[in-house]
Amino acid sequence: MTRIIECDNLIKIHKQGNLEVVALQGLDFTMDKGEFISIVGKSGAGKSTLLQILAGLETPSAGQVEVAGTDLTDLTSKQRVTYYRRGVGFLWQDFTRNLVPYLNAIQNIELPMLLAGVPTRRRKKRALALLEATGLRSNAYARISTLSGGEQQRLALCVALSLGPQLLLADEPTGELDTGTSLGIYDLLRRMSHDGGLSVLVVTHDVALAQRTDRVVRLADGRMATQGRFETHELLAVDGRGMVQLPRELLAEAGINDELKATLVDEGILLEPSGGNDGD
Amino acid sequence: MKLVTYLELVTRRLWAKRGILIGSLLGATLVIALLVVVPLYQDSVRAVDLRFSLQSALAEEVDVTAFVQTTSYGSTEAEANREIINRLQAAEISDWYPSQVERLQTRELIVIPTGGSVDWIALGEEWKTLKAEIELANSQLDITEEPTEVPSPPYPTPPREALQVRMLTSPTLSQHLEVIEGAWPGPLLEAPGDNAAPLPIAVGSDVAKLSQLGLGDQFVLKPFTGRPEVFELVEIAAIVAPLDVGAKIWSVDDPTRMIYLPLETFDAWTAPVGIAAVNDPWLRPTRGLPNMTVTQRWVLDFDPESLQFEEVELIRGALNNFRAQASQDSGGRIAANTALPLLLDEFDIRSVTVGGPILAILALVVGGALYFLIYTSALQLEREGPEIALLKTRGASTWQTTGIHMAQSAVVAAVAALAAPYVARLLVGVTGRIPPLSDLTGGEPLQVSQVASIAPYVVGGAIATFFSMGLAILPFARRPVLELRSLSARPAGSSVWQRYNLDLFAIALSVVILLQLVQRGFINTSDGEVRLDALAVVFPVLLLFTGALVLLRLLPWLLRIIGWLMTKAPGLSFALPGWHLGRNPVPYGRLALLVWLTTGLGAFALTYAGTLEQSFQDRAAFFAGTDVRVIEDEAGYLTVPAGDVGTAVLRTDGAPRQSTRRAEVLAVRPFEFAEVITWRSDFGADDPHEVFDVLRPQGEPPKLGITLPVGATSLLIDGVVVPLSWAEQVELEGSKPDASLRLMLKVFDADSRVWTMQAENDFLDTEWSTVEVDLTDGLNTYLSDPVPPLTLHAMWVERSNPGGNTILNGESILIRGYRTVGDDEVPLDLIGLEPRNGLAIQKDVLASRAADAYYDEIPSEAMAPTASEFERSPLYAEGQADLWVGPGVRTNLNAAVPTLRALLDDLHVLVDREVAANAGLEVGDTAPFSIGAELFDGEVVGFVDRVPAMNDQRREGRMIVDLDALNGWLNGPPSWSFKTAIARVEIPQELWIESDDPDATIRLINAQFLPGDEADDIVTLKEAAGEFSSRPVQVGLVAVLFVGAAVSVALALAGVTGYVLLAVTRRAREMGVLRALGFPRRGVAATFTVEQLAVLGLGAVIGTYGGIALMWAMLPFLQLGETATDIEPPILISVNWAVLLGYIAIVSVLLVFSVVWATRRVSAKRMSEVLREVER
Repeated sequence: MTRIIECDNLIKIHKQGNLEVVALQGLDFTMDKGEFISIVGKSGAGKSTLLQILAGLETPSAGQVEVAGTDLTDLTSKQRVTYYRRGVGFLWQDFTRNLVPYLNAIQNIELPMLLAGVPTRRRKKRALALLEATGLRSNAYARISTLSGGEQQRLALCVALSLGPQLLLADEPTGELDTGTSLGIYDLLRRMSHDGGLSVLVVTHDVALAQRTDRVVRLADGRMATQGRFETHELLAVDGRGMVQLPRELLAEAGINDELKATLVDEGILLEPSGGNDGD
Repeated sequence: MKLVTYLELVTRRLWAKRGILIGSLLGATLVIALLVVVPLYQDSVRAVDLRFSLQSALAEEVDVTAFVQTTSYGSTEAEANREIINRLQAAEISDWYPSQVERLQTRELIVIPTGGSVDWIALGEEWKTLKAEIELANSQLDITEEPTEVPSPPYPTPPREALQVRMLTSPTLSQHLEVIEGAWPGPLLEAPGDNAAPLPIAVGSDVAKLSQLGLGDQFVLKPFTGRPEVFELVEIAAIVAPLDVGAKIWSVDDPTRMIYLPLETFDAWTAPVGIAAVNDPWLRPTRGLPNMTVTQRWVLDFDPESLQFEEVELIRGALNNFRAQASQDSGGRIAANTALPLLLDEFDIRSVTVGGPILAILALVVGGALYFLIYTSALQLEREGPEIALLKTRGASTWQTTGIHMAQSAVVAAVAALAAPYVARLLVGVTGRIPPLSDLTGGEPLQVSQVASIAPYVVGGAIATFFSMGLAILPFARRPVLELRSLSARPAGSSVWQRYNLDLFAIALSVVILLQLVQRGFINTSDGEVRLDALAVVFPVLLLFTGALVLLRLLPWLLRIIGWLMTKAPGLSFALPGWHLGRNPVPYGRLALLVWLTTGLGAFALTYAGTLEQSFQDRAAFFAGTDVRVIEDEAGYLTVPAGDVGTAVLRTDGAPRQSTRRAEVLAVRPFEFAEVITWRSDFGADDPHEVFDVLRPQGEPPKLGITLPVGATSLLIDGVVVPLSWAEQVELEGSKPDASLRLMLKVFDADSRVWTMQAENDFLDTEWSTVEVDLTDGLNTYLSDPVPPLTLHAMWVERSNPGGNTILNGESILIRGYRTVGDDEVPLDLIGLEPRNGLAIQKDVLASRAADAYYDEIPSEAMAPTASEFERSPLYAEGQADLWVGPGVRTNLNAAVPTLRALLDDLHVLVDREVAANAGLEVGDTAPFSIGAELFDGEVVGFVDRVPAMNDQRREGRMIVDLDALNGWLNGPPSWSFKTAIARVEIPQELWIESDDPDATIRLINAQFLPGDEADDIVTLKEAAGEFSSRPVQVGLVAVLFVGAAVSVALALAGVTGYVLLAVTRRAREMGVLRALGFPRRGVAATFTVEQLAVLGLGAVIGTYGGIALMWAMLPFLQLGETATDIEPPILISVNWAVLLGYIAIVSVLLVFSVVWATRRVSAKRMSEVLREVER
């Protein structure tokens, strides 16, 4: 498989006055072309910072990052424009920030193509195809304010994909949507990834939605905590103090609520609901 | 990206943002319109000024007067001249001079009546008969007989008191005359011939009255000529009067004292008319009035309404052509004059000097409007930060982002440029409807005049607005996406000006320009032309700009302090905004700056208008000096109307130490003068008394001599001229000069009038006599008699019968018994009078000295007198007397009259610094001063800086002296007066009156003159003030200021409302949180209102003082005045705080309203809406 993202020992330090906050602490991360990955983690884990670095909005303090063959550590403004036009598409959580409010649906899709100098006919054709693919064909000329949240986010997806990027970066794309609409968006992303070969990297808090991606990368304290799917064997990171963080879904699946019982067995440590729960 | 795609995006963007962009479009339109207003308004106001100047000009100033004078009038030449004038008028100037009046006027002719005491016609007829008889008799004589000589014909000769008249005719004469009696003598239908009747003429009513002639009467009209046979018999066909005495055809002549005849008749009879001599009483072969001296004059009427502002240069050229061509075509005989070009020159100068402030003020308004554009563009861009970020993340390059915004600005600027000329015309027109310009336009819109193309202003304005709106994108376009997305949440940083200290550079630049201007002057008059210095126009704008930049540095600090103070106040409504102000003061500083510009311009406008008005009043007061100033030969002696305060003032010139630099001199009575004079504290002291009262340190008028009793009607003195000895007299028998001497006095009366009085009889050398001087009259011719009490200033004697101009011949007089007579006889003590100019007085000599002298030498044949005879001599007197001993021979060429005269104290003089510097004088110095024609010692008692009504540009400096003291010095010296004209008296020519009712005062003053002989000139403060304040250019200037202030208020309101809306919308989260914490909606609104008002209040306060500071920067413009010469008195800034506070109150109310409205608009939203706003 071809790598589309390769992060090597990525470090990002934010300065806030005299304070230095380490957002990423030597993150190593790779993504293959056509993969659909979700990044989860608590607030402050470094998810957004990673996404901003991958989007070329932030420059890493140290380490290497390369997206679709573009080294993002030292982008010139010209390279950045090219990167935005050819390499990457964005989908932000606030769907109003994805769309230009005074343009209608199709104009919004055409905008990046317009900026990139795509001829009118091709623009139109591509825009209509994207609208068709996202089920918004009938809303092609609708004003943004008349579209629902889900429709706006699907439209934003069309905009992000209008120039045919290799990678789609989405920051909480369904954060403001209801579950049903969110699932629809994720299904769309999955279909585009699997059927269209689009690489999709989604940052989300919603583990259930994350489960719909090919791979879940969990970040904690600026490093990768786990990666993979929560199937039978889950790899968990143990921090310096011996703390282990268990995914909520796993706990729910195991019926563990507030307390659990840890038993040392030959294979390792068996975690099971505490006695209180047995009685139920 | 292709241009078409740009335009597509820009169009979509423009359409989408049309609501917001309308504001920018309005702002841009206003900026360009204001720039276009510069030429339009200037031209329009100048057009009004021109119209006003022309309308208020005297007709003789603007009319063209062409004339030609000939000593041998001929109708052919007159017709040729007429043709030239008519042709040139039609070709060159008929647009402005549509009509004309022509007249032909002769020199004086003598009216010789034919009836009455001398009937010249009858005499002529008699002579004719006599001549015939003599010639007949002579024809019958023998050769040896001597023929009788025919006497000369009795040509009419004028009587001693002959009436002189001028003859006047014109092609349009009958239109100007009303026939009172008789019939207008129509043109002669036949050429005058053998039997021509007397020439029918019309006479003015006064001519008929003065010559006592009536209709049908005949008289002889004779020109001043050496040829006695040239005269003409005329008959009165009509008695006429002018239809309009003010008609231009009369010029300065009195139309009732002229004689008239039709032009055709005039032309026919000013040539020799051949007649049969036998028909003429004097047998003349020709009649008529040939070789007349005639002035042919045309007055071409100027129509003030016809000259359009655009035609000023045209008319100049046309007038030059007219004058040159008229002279050339007539062979240099026709001269044409008009003062219109001078008037236009003055108008040009005024246009520059007053146009300067208009330009500068409009530049200020434009500067303010541009700031508004930049400010709102930056605000808008901050708001568009996320959108720019989105565009960038969608692949827009920096140039594309910039280009889209710039193209948008270009479209706005282009649309604005298209609309602006119409808006400008509307604005200019509207200023005509608002006071004070409406007073001049009658409330009609100002007529928009346009001379130069407005295209440069439109293009310049479009470029300026384009860059103002467009340039703000440059820093934004380069910002990273994340920064753009969080723009609204981050505190603003320092501006680019502060970052690179460009503001300090701008300040330094302003200082350099100011120094340059101070050195070079604001108006360039070096080449003889008056031009405005471009730096002068730029300077106020630069001052405003640098002031704004300085404030951008200072305001955040001030706002932090205010914020800190607010946090100390109890209650969250003050504390919360205080914290906010302290945390993020920079954007508030910009807001305060916007308010500063508004209140600043308003304060400036009001202060400017107030200052200008005050200056008009000050100038009027300085010009007039007091409420009513009467200028007339003896105005100082007029009676001041009851209830008014008045004082006489003498105006002359003088110099210290016989300097060649003459200064203007006013002689005044200090206390009264200080009471009536219009005064300003910068003239030398707060109270004029402080300046002038030092002229009389004791407060008393100067002592000019011996005060005579009030009831005294005459002065008596006993005296005798010490005679030559008896023997000498016998020896000189027949050739002995008359030794009689006449006593002369110089007396001042209670009105300070000087009187020269003479005794009614002489001192004789034959006997003691009592001479009497009538104190109730003198040799001077004042309107009234001497007003007691009188002050005896000087006594001298002159020979009653001077031979060979010898006024004195070394005589000595014995004098005693000085006394006045009136109700009582009062002895007079002459202490205080001192002998001068060679006169010596020996006190208490024996009164018998005259007799002694006579009998000192007795003729040889005579007997010496016995003692009793000696005592019986009329020359003898007992007791003692004063002996006046003259200095020897004096003639009337010797100005120094030996006299007994009062000693005068040194004159106290106030000098100005220039005079003092020229003469090296300090206070306390005594130096000789020449004032008028006299030279005397004066002591400098103080300095004056400026004195109203003293601004004679021909003099160098000013001096003030005590009128009464100067009176003594100027009019006190005796002059030979008995047999010659008395010396000219320096009389105060001005009367200064402080009056509550000037019109009544003027009536009462004029009533003191004979009817028709009113005062030459009466200057009133009221009239002068009207004159000064009615100049349209100045009035227009005030109008544009008010429009500018109104525009700036509108802009500021728009800006403040927009800013507050934006600010509160941005802080919706904060509002939501406050309300979620239980803060009531009103409380939230109050919090925001207090915060904004604190900022606006600071801006308003600074703005007010800033406006006044700006006024200070503009003062040099005003100081130049309308004629590019310094205004006297200098203009002082006049701040009318009541009006200013009223204006600030109005602006504050509007600002508060806009803040409250904007705050309420957001705070009134439901919580859910607010919170949703936060998320979005």
